[in-house]
Order: sequence, then C-alpha cells, then structure tokens
Amino acid sequence: MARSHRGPRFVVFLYAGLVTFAGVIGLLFSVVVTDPQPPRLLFLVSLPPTAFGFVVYGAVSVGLVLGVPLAGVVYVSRHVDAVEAPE
Amino acid sequence: MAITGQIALTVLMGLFLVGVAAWLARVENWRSYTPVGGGTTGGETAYGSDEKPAGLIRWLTTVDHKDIGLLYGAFGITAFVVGGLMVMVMRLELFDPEMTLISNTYYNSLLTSHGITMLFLFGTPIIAAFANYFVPLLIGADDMAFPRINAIAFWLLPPGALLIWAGFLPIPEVIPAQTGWTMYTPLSAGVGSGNQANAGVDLMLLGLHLTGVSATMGAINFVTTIFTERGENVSWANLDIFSWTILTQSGLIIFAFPLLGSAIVMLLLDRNFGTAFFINGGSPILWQHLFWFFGHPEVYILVLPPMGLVSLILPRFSGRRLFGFKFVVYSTLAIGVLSFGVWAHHMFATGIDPRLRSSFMAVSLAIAIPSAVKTFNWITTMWNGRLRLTTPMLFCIGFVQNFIIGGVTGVFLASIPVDLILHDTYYVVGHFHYIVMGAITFAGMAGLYYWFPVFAGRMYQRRLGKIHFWLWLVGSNVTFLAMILLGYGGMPRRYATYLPQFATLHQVASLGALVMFVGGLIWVYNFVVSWLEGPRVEDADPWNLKDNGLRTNEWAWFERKRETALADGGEVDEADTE
Repeated sequence: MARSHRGPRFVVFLYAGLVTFAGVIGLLFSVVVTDPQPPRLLFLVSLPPTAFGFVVYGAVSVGLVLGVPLAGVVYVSRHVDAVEAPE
Repeated sequence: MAITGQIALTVLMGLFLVGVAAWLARVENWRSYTPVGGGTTGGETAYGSDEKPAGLIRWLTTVDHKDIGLLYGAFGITAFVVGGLMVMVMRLELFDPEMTLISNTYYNSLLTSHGITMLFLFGTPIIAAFANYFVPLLIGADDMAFPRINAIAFWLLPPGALLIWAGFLPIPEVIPAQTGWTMYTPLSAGVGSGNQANAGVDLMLLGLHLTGVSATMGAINFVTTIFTERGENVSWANLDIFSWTILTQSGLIIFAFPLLGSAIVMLLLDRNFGTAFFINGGSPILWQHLFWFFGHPEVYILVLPPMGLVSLILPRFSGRRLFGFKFVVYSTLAIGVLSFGVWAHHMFATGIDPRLRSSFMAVSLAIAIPSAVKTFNWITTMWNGRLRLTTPMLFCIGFVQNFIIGGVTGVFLASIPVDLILHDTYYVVGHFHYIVMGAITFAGMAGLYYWFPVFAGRMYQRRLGKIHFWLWLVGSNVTFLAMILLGYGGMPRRYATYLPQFATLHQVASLGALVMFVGGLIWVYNFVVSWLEGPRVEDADPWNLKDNGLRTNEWAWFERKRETALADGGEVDEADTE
C-alpha cells in the first residue's frame, strides 16, 4: 500500500506547479505572438512586452487567482474543518 | 429492376430479423432475469436454479445492471480506442504543414468522427458504465427500476455507432461526414457545391439520434431508480455524491437530448424532404441555437459524473471525509441549472444582438463559481488529509490540476472581447481538451482503477498504472499547452494544412499525443493481462477504507458477494499458484 503524504505540503507543491505553468505560458506567449502589446498586471501596473514581462504577468496573475482561494482553504481548514472533523 | 431488387433485399432483411428474434426467443427465457430472482414470478423456467446462462447468450440477453454496466464499459472503451486511433492519424498528418499522409477531406472526416465518437460513443457510455454498475450498489437497490429498458438503452448504441462510422465502411457511394461534430448548417444541410449531401451524413445523423434516444432512456431509468429504489437506510441526506451527480446529469439529459433529437430530425427533413428550417430561406443560425442549447449542457452531462467520481474517490485516499459535502451537492445542482443559460457564448462571433451577448457572458462567468466551489472543497479535503498516492488518487489529482487549467482558460473565453479574438482558433481546442481529456477522461481512469478489484475480482499492476498516469499527465499537458499557444499565435482550428510558422508547435503537440498513445497501450495491456492473470483480490477492502470509516456501500456488497460465493469445485487458478 502506498505510503501517505502530508496534505499541506502536497497542495502547496500543486499550487507552485500551476503558478510555474502560468509563468511558462507567459514565456512562450512572448515567443509565439509577434509584436504583443504591453500587459497590464491587475489592470494597473504596466509591464514591458518582453519575455520577462509576460512571465511576471502570467505567474503573478494566476498566483493571485489561485492564491486567494488557497488562503481561504488554509483558513477553513483551521477554523471550520476542525469543527466538522469529529463527525 | 433495381427497385425490385431493393424490395427483395428489404424483405430478406425483414425475414432475417424475424429469424433472429425467433432464435433468441427459443434459446432464452426472458422472464428468467427479473430483479426479484430468476424465475420466481414467471412460473417454471429453464433457469430455475441457474442464475445466468453461460457464454455469449448471457451478454446478449442480460438485464442485470452489473452486466449492462460491463457492456457499456466495453463499448465505451472500444469507442475510445477507435477515437484515439483516429486522432493519432490526424496528429501524424499534422506533423508536417503540407498534405502528406491523408487527403484534406479524409482529415475532415476523421476530425468529425473523432469528436462525435469521443463525446457520444465514449464519454456518455463510459459514465453510464459506472452508473449502471455502481449506483444500484451505492444506493442499496436490487437493480435498476426498469431493467429491460436499461438493456434496450444499451443495445441502441452499437447500431448507433455503426451508423456514425458507416462512411468509413466499404459501402459503395457512401462517404464519411465532414461537417465537424457541431454539424453547422448550411454545410451539414448538404447545399452548395460540396459533397455533404451524401448519405453518409444522413447515416451519421440517424446514428447520433439513436445514441440520444439511448441516453434519454438511461437517464429516465436513473432518475426513477434513485427516487424509488433506494435502500431503507439511504436517504436524501446521506445519498452518496456520485449518485447525486448522476441524478443531476440525468435531469440534464432529459431536457437536452430530446432537443438534439428534434434538431436532427429537422435537419434530416431539410436534407431529404425540402423543408426550410435551416436552408431554403430558413435560418442557419437557428441550428446553432438548437445545437448549443443541447451542446453546452452536454459539457456538464459529461463533466458532472466525473466530478462525482473525484468527490467520491479523492477523500478515500486523503483519509478523511469530503469537506463541505452539502456545498458540493449544491454546486452540482447550480451547475445543472446554469448550464442551460450559457449556450450563446459559443455564438459570440455570429453577430447576435450585443445585449443578448452580454447576458450570456454574465451567466457564463457565473457558472465558474460552483465549479470553483468544488475545486475549493477538493483542495481543502486534501489539505487536512494524509494522501496515499495510489493510481486512482493520482488520476484524481491529475483531474484537479487539468480542470484548473481548463477552467481558467475557459473563463477567458466567456469574456466577449477575448472570445472574439480567440474564437475558432486552437486556443479553444486546447481549452476543451484540457477539460474533456485532461479532466473527464482522467476521472474515468480514476474510477476504472479504483473499482477494478470489484468488477474484475483481481488487482491490476500498480507500477504500470502509475506509468500510465505519468505518461498521460505529461502527454496531455504537452499536447494541450501547445494547442493553447497555437491559438495565441492565430492558428485556426479544423485545418489539415497550415503555415510553416506553426510547424514546431504542431510537432510538439503530436509528440505529446504520441506519449499519451504509449500510455494508452500500457493501460490496455495492464487491464487485459491483469483481468486474465492478475492476483485475485484476497480482501474485500483492498484500499483499506475501513480504517478511516470511509467504506461505501459497494464495498460492503463486494464483501457479501465474496462471503456468499459458491465453491467452484476446487479448480486451481494458474494465477493463484504463481
């Protein structure tokens, strides 16, 4: 039978993988699309239309989109799920 | 002379069918498989003491939900292999920008048939396989509410498949349909100077209609079964999550598939009897409305039960109960309702009223919320658990990962301005393949591996299972990421040839598909060999679910089945002696 792994470490690993994936898409986007316009992070911060700019745009955007719910996961795991557990 | 020959052929076929019916009636007593037990309500029968006949007759005549589940499974997997081989030919063709391996028209035929095969002949039937086998066990029912309708629903599928694939068979003057799986008019109506007035398209439409009738019959059966056949200790409050998703999916099928059937009949009338629904002064856009009113709920028809599988299996290997069970059920119902209000997001580029577009954009964005709620609950379940990375668990985690990528890329398509840029590009292909292959099929695999000990009575090779998972995870992401990038680059979908600038990404996508193909070979080998020669399951709790109080009803049934199994006369199985 497979050995067990701690949930939090595994989920953070999954989160990091998805954020890295978004960064990779940003990097490749700058290669595939010719003459792209500068991205605006969170509709506010203008980033350069370079590989670096798109990596930051992709990773930070997805990092936030998934990170905020993940913070919610941590919160309910500590405060709500602990109450449900004995059932 | 020709008409006389056709009449003679028709009479001959009729006699043949009567002969088949007479033969079946002779070899089989249909009353022997009532849910209450063989022959107890039908007086004397030839099967008073035998549960089922042996051999082929058993499979042709069975009304046992488990047997029908296995039939659905065999059918679905066969279709998956056919659809997979079709796409491998297409990906090999796309390795080179020019037309090299196959003709452009044959590519269009494969493209059409791949989509229809995977959605209607693999997706829906493989879900029906799980539902037929396990829902009655999970809810404590003796069988489905209507066992014979259950059998009829399945047996409509093979002729449906033959009709859909008829164009590929060596039938004179019949060519495969090249309409794409969406069958947009006026192309699919057969007008213009193309070749889609061919009977191959009519046959495909009739085949599709049969699969729709099959799905509708099955759905009515599931709704009735879950409402009326639950065991005494199974209430709505403790109904398992997989049955909830099957109930919701069945509701969607009942509302969506008859509409597809009606639209297909209208199209057939336009093609063959000169009516004017979509052509001859009718509206080609009407087809898109009718088709997508069915087509988008179809996405959720395909994804809700796999979500149920993940919601059922993932907690089992997290060593805890599903977090927020009620919210997962509510989100399932919410998706079911909202799914009927998003169809026009497939039509943002058709020039429909902008005010209409905006409302559909709002609902399309809103439907992401219940999907996100489910993902939130799966992640929270894992967060507070201790994870056992068995093959079914790995496929569940792969589902979650690919579903997040497919979901995020899909949210962008719900936005009108983004959709107008990416519409009809490979981005859309990459997005929906992340969902259909990366998520739905992964969940299907999780179910197949998880319940393999139940339906095969043996255990698969664990190492091969994990190799299969990793090959598919890597292969699917390589292929579908390359498709997303092709779409960003402006590569339109549905083309057999392309500009040289897209060659590298197409080759990467083909390599990814090849990796998945190898993974698929390993999966088939593992399942076939393990089913025939794998080690017999010695314990009714092969996943150690009892330890955490996570055993569900089907495992309790499996334990009873093992305890009450009759001795087979002491025959020694070769696998047991090794």
